[in-house]
Amino acid sequence: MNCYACPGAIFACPIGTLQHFAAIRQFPFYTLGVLALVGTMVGRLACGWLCPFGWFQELVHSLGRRLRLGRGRLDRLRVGQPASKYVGWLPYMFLIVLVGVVPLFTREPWFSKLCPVGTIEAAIPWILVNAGLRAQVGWLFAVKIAILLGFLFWMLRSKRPFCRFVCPLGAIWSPFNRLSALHLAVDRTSCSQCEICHTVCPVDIRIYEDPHSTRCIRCMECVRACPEGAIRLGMDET
Amino acid sequence: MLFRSRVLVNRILLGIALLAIALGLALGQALITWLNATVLCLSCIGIQ
Repeated sequence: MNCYACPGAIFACPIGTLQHFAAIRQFPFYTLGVLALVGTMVGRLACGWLCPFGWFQELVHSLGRRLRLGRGRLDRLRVGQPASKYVGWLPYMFLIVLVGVVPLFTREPWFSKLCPVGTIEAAIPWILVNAGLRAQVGWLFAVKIAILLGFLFWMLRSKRPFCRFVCPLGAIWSPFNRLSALHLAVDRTSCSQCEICHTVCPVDIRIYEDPHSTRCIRCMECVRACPEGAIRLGMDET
Repeated sequence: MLFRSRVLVNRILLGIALLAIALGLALGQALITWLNATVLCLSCIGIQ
């Protein structure tokens, strides 16, 4: 997710665009069409390869590992525990409430106003370089900084917390992982369930349990790390 | 069978996505998105 308020941005943030269309009460055919086109072709590949905030989260988390800060409480949840079922729905909740319903009624893009990606890629650079904007800074900027600091602390202890528990763009692309043309496949006869794929996975999943997992960001770390060569990347040919 | 149905759904969604893009372009939504970038930009900075 490249925030389009970033001084170096070329493309529009799809989440900002969706909120804008909710605010002007038009159905976002174009934005949803582009997102669906990307999703049907490659699923969540953009999360693993294009998202600058994903890369930033991994950078901060590697610092946390070096400092031996331990793992966050949500990271220790296991599949089957009641809480693990509910936290998986959080991105969908943010998508429906903050990207859809709230902008529809308030006519303001509230997710963008609070988004830590916008804070780090846009708000801070603009405030640093533009004295006019610096003079207009108010309480909302303080709230954005507080949210960013919260996420920074969370990133130190957890792998990609924004991607896993908040990102509405990931929520849009998640279901496409089930049927995208590009997909991962696991050869169950070769897989020894050694857990190396789980250890290297930036979103903390076991790909051998579900190669079409909605949480997989197609970063290919597991493909590279698998000592048996049991995980491969495929493309539908029919 | 599962593979074939997955591919079929993929192709149907691909068609819907392309239709949605064409409809959005016809309605001028790409231009609306571009023109409103500045307004949303200020929202992201958090001063509006």
